[in-house]
Amino acid sequence: MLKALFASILLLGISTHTSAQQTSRLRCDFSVKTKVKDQPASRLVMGTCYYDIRIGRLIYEIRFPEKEKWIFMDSIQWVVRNDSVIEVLPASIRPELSVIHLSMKQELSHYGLKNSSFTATEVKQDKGLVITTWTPPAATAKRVGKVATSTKDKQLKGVIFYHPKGHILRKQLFNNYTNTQGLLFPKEIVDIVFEEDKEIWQQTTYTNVVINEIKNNHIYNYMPRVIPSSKGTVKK
Amino acid sequence: MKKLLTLAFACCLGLNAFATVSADDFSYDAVAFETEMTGLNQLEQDVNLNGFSLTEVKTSDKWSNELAGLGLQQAGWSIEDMDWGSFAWGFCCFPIGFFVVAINGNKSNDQKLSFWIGAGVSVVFSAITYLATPTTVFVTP
Repeated sequence: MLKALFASILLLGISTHTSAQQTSRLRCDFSVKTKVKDQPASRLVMGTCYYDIRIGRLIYEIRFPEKEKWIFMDSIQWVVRNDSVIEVLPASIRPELSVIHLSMKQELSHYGLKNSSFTATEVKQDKGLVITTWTPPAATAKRVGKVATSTKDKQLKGVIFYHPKGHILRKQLFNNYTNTQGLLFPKEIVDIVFEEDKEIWQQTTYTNVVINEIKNNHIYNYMPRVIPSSKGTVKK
Repeated sequence: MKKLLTLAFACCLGLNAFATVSADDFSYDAVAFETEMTGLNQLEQDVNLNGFSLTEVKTSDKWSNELAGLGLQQAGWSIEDMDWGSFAWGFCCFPIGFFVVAINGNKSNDQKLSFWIGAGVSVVFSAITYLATPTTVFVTP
């Protein structure tokens, strides 16, 4: 089931962006609360996020649970503690597919799908929402399900990822938009992932959004010094 | 008959795959969601207010008991997290290491823990060595 979800996300990545850029940098505080429904397992991550769209590195300066930096670039994630790289992982998010990037490119309303290999096959209105159904290319339709987006007043309200068989794999809901110098940005994202026997609930909140910041160059430009080994671990 | 049932099942799956999306699909139980997140919201507030790390939260009076119920996940400490330099300070030279590592604000929790492990190992080694050394017997003339 997750394979289909990841394949959908990967397909979204096959996109090209050529539109003009108005916002080059964004900084915000964030918190991610994750909870397995009806189970005690939970997780809290808090910190500050930095993104320079020209550099393409998404940098999370984590202050809780432990002080460390997570750097996402292309398909790699570095975990840095005390200026030493402690882990190199396949990235769980690609910067160019992040909500931050899509907001800055003013492509969040269609979740970047307009520039992907998905095709809008149905548009309709229902209870005040404009719902668009995006279908994957025929060649991948057996492995990748459709994606649905809902918008209201040209703001993205929700995204649903479907399994090729039709059931929902994941839904993301975008709430409380804030306008910072013309940049529309959701302050809350509710994320619900449906797995076979459980639901994972996640709430991401963004606060103190600052755009086109001039200071903190050393963080926006931060690049860990790392020599990856063949097994994905690193030499410090 | 079997084929007919299989066909009907396949048709149901097919219809499901092409079923249109409705606004209700984008809804969720916001009340249940907030209730589920209550514990994490409180923890978030406390962390924001006090700038706690997880280690500090665990040792705080308020959270030490409640964290178990919250099932907060973190990367567990393992031998790979050992900082051997800090361990050496604890093992070889506790008094100086105490200032260099234990009360040094620039050192991480892993480094501090490594220092105390080093100090603990040193104490155990010293005790074993002391107990294993034959006691000197003074014989009075």
